[in-house]
Amino acid sequence: MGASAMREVPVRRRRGAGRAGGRVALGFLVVLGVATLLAGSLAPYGYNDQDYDAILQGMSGTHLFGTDDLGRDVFSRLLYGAQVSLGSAVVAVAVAVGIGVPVGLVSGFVGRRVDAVVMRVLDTLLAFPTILLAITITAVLGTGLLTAMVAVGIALMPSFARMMRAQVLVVRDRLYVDAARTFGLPGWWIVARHVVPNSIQPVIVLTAHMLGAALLVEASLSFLGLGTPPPQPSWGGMLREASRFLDGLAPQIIVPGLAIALTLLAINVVGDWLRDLLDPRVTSRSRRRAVPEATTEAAAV
Amino acid sequence: MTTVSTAKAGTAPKQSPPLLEVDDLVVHFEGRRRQQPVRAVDGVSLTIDRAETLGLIGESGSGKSTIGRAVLGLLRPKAGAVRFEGEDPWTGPGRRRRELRRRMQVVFQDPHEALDPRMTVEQSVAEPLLMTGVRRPERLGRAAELLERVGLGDAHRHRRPHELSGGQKQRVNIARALASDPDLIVCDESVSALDVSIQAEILNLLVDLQDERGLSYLFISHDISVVAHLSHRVSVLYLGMVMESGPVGAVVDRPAHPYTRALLAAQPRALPSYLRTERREVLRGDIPSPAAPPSGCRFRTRCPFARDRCAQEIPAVRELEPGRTVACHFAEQL
Repeated sequence: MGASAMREVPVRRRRGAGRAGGRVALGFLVVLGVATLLAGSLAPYGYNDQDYDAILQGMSGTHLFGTDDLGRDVFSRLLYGAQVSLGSAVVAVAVAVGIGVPVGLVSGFVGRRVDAVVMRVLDTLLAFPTILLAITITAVLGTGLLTAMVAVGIALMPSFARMMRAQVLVVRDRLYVDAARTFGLPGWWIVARHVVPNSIQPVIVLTAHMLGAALLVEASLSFLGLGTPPPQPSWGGMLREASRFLDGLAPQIIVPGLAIALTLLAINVVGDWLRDLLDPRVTSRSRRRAVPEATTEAAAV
Repeated sequence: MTTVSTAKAGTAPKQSPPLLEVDDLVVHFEGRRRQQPVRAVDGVSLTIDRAETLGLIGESGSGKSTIGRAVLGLLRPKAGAVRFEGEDPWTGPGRRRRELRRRMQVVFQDPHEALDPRMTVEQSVAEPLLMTGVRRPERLGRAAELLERVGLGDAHRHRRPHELSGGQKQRVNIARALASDPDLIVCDESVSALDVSIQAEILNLLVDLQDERGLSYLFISHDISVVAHLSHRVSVLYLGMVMESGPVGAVVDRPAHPYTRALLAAQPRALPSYLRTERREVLRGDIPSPAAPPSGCRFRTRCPFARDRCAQEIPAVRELEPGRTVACHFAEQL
């Protein structure tokens, strides 16, 4: 066998197209995020500026996406609405991750009684439909998007806890964890260095998908009139207001609807892309490098 | 029990107390309530001297890996004691316990599973040196040295486990086990997952390392030919109990226990003709459940020589000759 035998390291290319799609979707979300943060300076009008001479207008140069029934600029409201819609989705998921991941980690790693108790509590929580829980809490604490989204976060939390626990249960019994124990390293260090990094990957993907779910819940709540009180805009709220004047291809309803749909799509595509990206077997290094053939064994035989 | 080492390597000192002492070890796995606990290890004693290799042979389910894990402190024994240089790795302050652990390392059967897929080879090998006060450049230097010693070059240092072959991964595991400069390495079926040609390389590497560093091995395997190749002494395990133990040559040449005979007979091709037993006594059936072991002698249900006494009386571990023990009522008559 030639000593200089080189070969390309085999690469598992999954979804070659998905990778490009992932970049596009990520770009979309970045632009959306920036626009949301800068809504105050980007929006041509205030979200509550009314122009009674221009009611329910179509797209035009003065009003990019037309105006609603009170003469408010749809484009401006879309930008301000994004702050509410995306912001509340982020709050909900942050609550869910912030509680769910540590709970799942402890439950899975400690096991036994702790695990049994935690899992039953989570099962109970999981039994409530997300929206119903949010509506109930809103009804009790009064209409307020923040409380509603915290409630949504609590409702989504069991999914994170369960996934984290399932991962930890697998990783905990891996031989490399046992090996690390024989190095005399403390338990917390093993958790931080081996258990969490090898468990977290599907949780990150779940986070992306749950962001989409939370966005949808916010839109639904606002559509039902349980979200942000008017005149503060949100995407779901805009849909609700426009639905009363539904008549043909009106930008008033298509624009927020499309915003929700596209954002959801982008979030999900990015989620799938992340899943591939986080796979340790597909790293940029292994993709590019040519390495010598298994030298040790080849040389010795 | 006295400790005797064979002249095989000629390095094992005899006067000092043994490096590792396992005394009447019992490990049970509790099942669900009202179920019988699985008696994985039921009163096993063994010793390992410095620079000595003790082979532990047995079928799957015989408790050999469990003994390895108990020695390493990964499992808490139900009874009995593990003493490393006279110290119990379960008692004493945490810091001392961790120090003790570093002096016993392990090379597992599955070289892939034993490496964190997210860490590079270099990181894995340097890991045992973390929190020992060794600085990072020194740790990486040490790792590079060790990798070179086990036959892996610079090209491999920054790779991840999935970029290596099975034999290379096992070399990484060996390098990692050496990093904390241990006195004892538990080899739990360390070569069973490898191709035969690579098995030989890894075994030779282990022998060379032993000669260089005065390492002791607890070598766990189901493959008696592998154990015979590098052990000084062997213990034959069946259903969590030691059936026979002694110097490897004596046990392989003149097996005293019917189970050892059967094991040797089961692998005719793996042994040169002068090591073969004359008759082939092929074992029938499976190893009984360790949750409900047979009464009396554990091996009696599959033993071709079993008599009434075997069902009633658990055979004591008797010394046949110095350093040679057997647990069979009729060892002399076979």
